[in-house]
Amino acid sequence: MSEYLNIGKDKRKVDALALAAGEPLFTDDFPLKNPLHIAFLYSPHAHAKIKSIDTSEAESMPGVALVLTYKNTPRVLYTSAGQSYPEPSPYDMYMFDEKVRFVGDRVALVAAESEEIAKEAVKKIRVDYEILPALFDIEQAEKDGAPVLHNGEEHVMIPSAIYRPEKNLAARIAFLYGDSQKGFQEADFVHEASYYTHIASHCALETHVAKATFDQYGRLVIITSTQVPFHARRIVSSITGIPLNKIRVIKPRIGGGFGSKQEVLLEPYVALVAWRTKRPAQIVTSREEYFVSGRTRHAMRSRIKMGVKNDGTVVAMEIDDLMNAGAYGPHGPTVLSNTGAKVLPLFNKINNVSFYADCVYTNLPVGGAYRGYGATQGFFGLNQHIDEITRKLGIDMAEFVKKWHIKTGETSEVFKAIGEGRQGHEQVVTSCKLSECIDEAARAIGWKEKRGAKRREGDKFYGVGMAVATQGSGIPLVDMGAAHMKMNEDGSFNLFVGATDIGTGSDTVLAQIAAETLHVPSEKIIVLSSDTDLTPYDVGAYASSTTYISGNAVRVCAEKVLDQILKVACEMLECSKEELALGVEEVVHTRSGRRLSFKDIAYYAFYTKNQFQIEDSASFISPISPLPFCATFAEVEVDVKTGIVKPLKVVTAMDCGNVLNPKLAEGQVEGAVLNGISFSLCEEYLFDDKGKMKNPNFWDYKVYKTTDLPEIVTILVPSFEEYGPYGAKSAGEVAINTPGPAIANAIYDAVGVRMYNLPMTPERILKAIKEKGIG
Amino acid sequence: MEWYRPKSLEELTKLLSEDGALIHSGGTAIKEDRIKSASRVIDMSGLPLGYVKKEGNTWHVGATATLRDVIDVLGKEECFNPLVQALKCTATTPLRNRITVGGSVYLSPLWSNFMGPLLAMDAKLDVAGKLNGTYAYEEFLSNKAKFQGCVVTEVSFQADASTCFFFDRFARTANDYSALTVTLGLSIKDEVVDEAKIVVTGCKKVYDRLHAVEAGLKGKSLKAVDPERIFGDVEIEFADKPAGSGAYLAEVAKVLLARGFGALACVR
Amino acid sequence: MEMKALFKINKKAYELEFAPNAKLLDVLRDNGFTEVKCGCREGFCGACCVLLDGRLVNSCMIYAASVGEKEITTVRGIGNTLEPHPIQEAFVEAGAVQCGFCTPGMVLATYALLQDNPNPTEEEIKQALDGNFCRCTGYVKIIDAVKLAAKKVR
Repeated sequence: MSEYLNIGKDKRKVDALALAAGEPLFTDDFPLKNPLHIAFLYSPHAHAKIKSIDTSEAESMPGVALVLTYKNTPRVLYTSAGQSYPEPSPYDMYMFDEKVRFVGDRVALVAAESEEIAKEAVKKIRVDYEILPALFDIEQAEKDGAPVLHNGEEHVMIPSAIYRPEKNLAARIAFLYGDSQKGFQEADFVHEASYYTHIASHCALETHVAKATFDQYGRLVIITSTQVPFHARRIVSSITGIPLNKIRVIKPRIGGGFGSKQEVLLEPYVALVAWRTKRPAQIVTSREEYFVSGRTRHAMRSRIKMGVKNDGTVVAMEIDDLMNAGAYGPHGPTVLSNTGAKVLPLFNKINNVSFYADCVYTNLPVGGAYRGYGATQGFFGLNQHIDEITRKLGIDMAEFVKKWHIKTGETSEVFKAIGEGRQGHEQVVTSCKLSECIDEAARAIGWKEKRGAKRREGDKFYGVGMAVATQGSGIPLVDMGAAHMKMNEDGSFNLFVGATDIGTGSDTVLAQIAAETLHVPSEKIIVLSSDTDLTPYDVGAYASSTTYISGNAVRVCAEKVLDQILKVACEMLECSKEELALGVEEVVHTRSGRRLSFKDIAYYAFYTKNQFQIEDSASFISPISPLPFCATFAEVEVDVKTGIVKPLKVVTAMDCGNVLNPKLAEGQVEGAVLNGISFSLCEEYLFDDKGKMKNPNFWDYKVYKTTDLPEIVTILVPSFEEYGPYGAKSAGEVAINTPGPAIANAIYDAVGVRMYNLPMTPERILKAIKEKGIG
Repeated sequence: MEWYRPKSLEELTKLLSEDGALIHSGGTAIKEDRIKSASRVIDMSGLPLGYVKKEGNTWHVGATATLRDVIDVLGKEECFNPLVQALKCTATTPLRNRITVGGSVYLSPLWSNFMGPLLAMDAKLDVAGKLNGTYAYEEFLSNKAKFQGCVVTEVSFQADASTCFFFDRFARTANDYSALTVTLGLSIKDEVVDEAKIVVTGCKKVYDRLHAVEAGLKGKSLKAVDPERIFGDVEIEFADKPAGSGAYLAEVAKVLLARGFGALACVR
Repeated sequence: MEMKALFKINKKAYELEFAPNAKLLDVLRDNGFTEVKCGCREGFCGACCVLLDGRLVNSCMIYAASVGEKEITTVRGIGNTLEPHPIQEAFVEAGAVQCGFCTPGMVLATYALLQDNPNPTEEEIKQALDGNFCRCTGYVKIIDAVKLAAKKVR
């Protein structure tokens, strides 16, 4: 194979220098002319009816332009989840409701001349609440007599998951094949345990920000920190009634999303305020609002039961997941289905599987999309369970996983059975280097030497653990991305994609794909992305869809454009296509040796004869979702007197197919890994007994800084995915699924205690150590 | 509202003679509504109080010296000084560049890292305003009400070459505020403990000087000391905190104390 | 807006109006210096970092009224897209810029570090950047960038 021109190269991110130079690129960097500032009134109660709400004093304050409550906003049920229509999340929220369902729920908003006035006016809104009993415990949610959060017109648009709001059930998914009860009887031993993952915040550095203004023609322009500009446009229109063709949504640079911005959170409000007042309107939320009234990772209890034979065969597996939706259900059903859909296929040789999962409402902050999207929760339990059973069997977990994981050419019953919103689709794994990932990472951590070595230095005990995971690359037959390209006279190209670069570097990678197809350096591709007026549709940045879905759209589009270039060359050279070869930015007539530069061809097409604009478009959907894979091996130090765990070294090997841009791919792994580490060790939502978050700030919600870093090693293990653009698969999510369980397994290796709950704080570890009687 | 920026201690004292001024040093601990409602703000930054200097055997740290200044100057000469150890793990680089010694000592919040070291070093404060003069830091801590309407102008302590210090703390991450700190100072002559200074901070009492343990150690041969037993018997109460329950923190304090003693016993 | 003062920002003088309780962060952003970002308003994340007389500080924790004569440097004061500073170049080359929201603060933290310590160890780099939170990169390539920047600047 000839060397790639752009693929596999550490091409500079197209926006990196501008960002390093502090250019105005983020939503709040674009000043509106004389805008109204919006402030929200949030509920102080976890569950209450609004008996009366008096906004008169607020409205009469000088500088206040508009006050909105349930009384004067559209009574339209929707989901804030940024998903393809019809969204698989329950339609269970109104812009404002007569009821509040968590501390931090929205009660009203004030739009005023300044943020200060808006906040002052918010304080003047008088609300009389009838406090209702609140529900915080997921295990109680479906029981008779539990407080019911949603008992009105709430409904689902598609029946992919069972929805019973009268039982607080936001989603139920069940799936089975074989006969797990029979399997358990055939087993030599059965192991059952429950694992608990917790609520966490994405902590994107930029909070939620949205601005709405009018262009010269009276159309509404929304500039917003979003992962889903097209979903935002559609959902804003359907809630507010503003015609879709009058709305333009622009995504500028985003200060991180990680799933928190796969949500149409603020846009309907800024849009409605602007539309009603005919003034620009904006809201910049605080960190506290981001923690409390934004979205979180769904907490989950996962009960896993495995029936195992002494030769290592898992003959039966039962998974019973109970997930916490929070007060509303955006992404509830799909995150829930992922805890099975992404987790079960990894071990496809278990013949008897039963998967049963419920997602329930509670009066707590709202769960949403968060990198990993259910796989993170599922893999925490599964990897520890495998650690446990391989220890019982006396075999190496690494060898076990290498033997039993899904391989290239294989399939799993689960692909067809569970989809992400709609039905599942059969697929065969077409690229998998997980065993190689395991080998490389094991070698890098010193697995053979350190595993079970029981190294001790005084009160410090050392151990190593591993975990594996997979994810997907887009949602089959749901996610669609499109691209449009046009050629300029000088041989450069404009590439228009709906695809949403949220810091991941997709603009850069898509330029590389286009450039490779056209055989030009990627610097010749000018990318414009995520503007609903100027770029074609794309679902947005989620489900690890950009490289694979949007990337393929770009590839197909570039192929079509190349075709046109060659046709013009044929006309110019008066020859047939077979006589042409492609050079770098040029076409060569093989017989005569005559060369035509892309510039020559473009000038001809623009100005000389049969003039036309060389341009084309393409869309892409996929019937499959190629699986990326990763393995993480972690070494920890446990202080048995204090319970303090220090991750020393965390090695992750990832197979994301053919690597399009090594530095960007590594960057995805490194960010995901550190997020996974701090998620599992120190991030925590602390609630009082009335459901109020006690620590909506970085003072008490701890995340890792440079001084907390373990040694992080990233190993890219390329495979070649035949259906991916230049062999690529996704890289954005998979590596967040493994650090937590790898560390938990390393803790077990060090001190012999199994940590079933996250986060694994020093106090919890010390308690477990004492119960075990060590040190 | 008036924002004053006095240039001399005389000006400062004159401004302090009137009631109701808000003192602004680094400003990092002042909430916005306090400034908003203040009629008079006295900004310390113009005063010649940014020094960190040694005169004879005494270190003098001016009120407007930043934590960074102390680490740079004191740390250069005495890198094992417990105050240096404490400040190095306080907050973050940009905050240490701004937080002043005077401001933070006046506040001495529960999570201060410097509290233990200053107590262990028998530090003194110079104050101006309602009271003028030099007071023991311990007196200030135990009776903050007495010092209302005062401003700290200087912190001073002895450079004590004969005492070896140990500082440690418990927090959730490297830059988290401390849930508790332990400071130990030992002066040892011929393998015998001459004097011990042991302070725990962050507890319910805010700070706890373990006088009983100190007395018990005095004159003891190092070999005869079992730190785990001595500190295991100590009763220090902590409130429940996000970093851990009161019971857990009490246990960690004992572990850190025992380890600190062990480290010091080896060092000399 | 009750107060007015002269601010020295990136070697230029600006007479700006502000409320007494206005933070330097907001006075800067409201007057066009949008390169200074807001991430937390509690002095944790460092997105708001500027240099004050060459020292790295959180502008969200500083009252504008107290700045006085001190020189403020934002990231645009050390380089721009047309004439980037070697530190900014290093961040680009090392792949240390993902969403870029933390980058201005990180660049200034690096600048301040290399001014004091042109040849920092990895530990010293981590210390110098301990006030800058990043969720995208895991800090790995940022530390690489600082090492590269140190080489370039030397």
